[in-house]
Amino acid sequence: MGIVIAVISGKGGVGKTTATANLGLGIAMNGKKCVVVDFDIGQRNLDMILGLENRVVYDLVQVMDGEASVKQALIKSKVDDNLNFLAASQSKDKSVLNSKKVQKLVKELKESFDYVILDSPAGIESGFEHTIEFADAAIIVVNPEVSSIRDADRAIGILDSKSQKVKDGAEVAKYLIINRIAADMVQSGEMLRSEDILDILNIKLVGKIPEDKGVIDASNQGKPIILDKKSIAGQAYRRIAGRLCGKKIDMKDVEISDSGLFKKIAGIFK
Amino acid sequence: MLFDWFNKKKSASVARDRLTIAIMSDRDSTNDLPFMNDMKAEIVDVVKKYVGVRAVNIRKEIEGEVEALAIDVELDRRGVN
Repeated sequence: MGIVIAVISGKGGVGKTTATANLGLGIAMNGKKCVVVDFDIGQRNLDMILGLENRVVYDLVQVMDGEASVKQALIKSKVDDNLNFLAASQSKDKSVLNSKKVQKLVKELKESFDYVILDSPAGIESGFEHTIEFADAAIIVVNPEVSSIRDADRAIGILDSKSQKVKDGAEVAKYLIINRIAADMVQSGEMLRSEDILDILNIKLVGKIPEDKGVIDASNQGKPIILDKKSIAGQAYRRIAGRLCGKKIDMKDVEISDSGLFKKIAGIFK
Repeated sequence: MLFDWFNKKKSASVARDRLTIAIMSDRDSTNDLPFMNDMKAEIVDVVKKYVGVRAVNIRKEIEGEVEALAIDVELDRRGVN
């Protein structure tokens, strides 16, 4: 039986879908069977980030409504056989979801995959609630910026009150990813430090991702940045995927690396 | 001018302080009670007559049939205001 992880953020545009794509692929690269599911009904995007937009035939609403089987709707990744993808429907809206249908789908996916990763829509409304309802764990993606952190705290509050696991008296595991850290700004005191963010949100950190222009380039091409071994964001995603697969990997301090004096000196000799 | 420059608080710590307060109040469900802010202010006024006060926190606690207001008064170490 696999584990269900919801990727949430509260605020939109912080890198939730990018994180879902990269972690899904990273987990697959660790040899685990993984499926990533786009729960953002009406705003399908995970297909683009994964470069699979031309392969979508059936979507998750059709599966829930019995118009297609899970097997028919799953799309295998071109880069790793262990990764599968289930698309959101683009024509409908999130009101088509209901708890019973979601539970049935999640249960079926759990039976065939080690990791079931659900990409939540932004906001804290019904689409979000359905994404977290049957999750065993949640990955919370934030940017080091006030509105993202505040919205994430609201999303965590709802997760802690509305998920089925909590209603059953258990706890939903929560892992924080701080995305788009600009080391130079942290050093000059213009960007929140990860310790401050952890203090405020009071959850466990699973990884820090530095700002990396390559992320846009990667999404332009539909090739998740984790495939680029030289990219600093790609390396960060590799570390996080490893941790999610139970590997002990030290937290790299992306808030001091590759900025400052050493880089400037290194630059002279380039 | 120079004095201002040295005393300028870095924006990250401003962000931290503002967020801490905003999130505390987001989480505090007792804010929903309409009289809460007035009551807090009155409690501060009374306690302040005797000792310095930093903050007053009020929580609604429910245990079985009993509903209670738990009032925490955080004192200011610097003493009487």
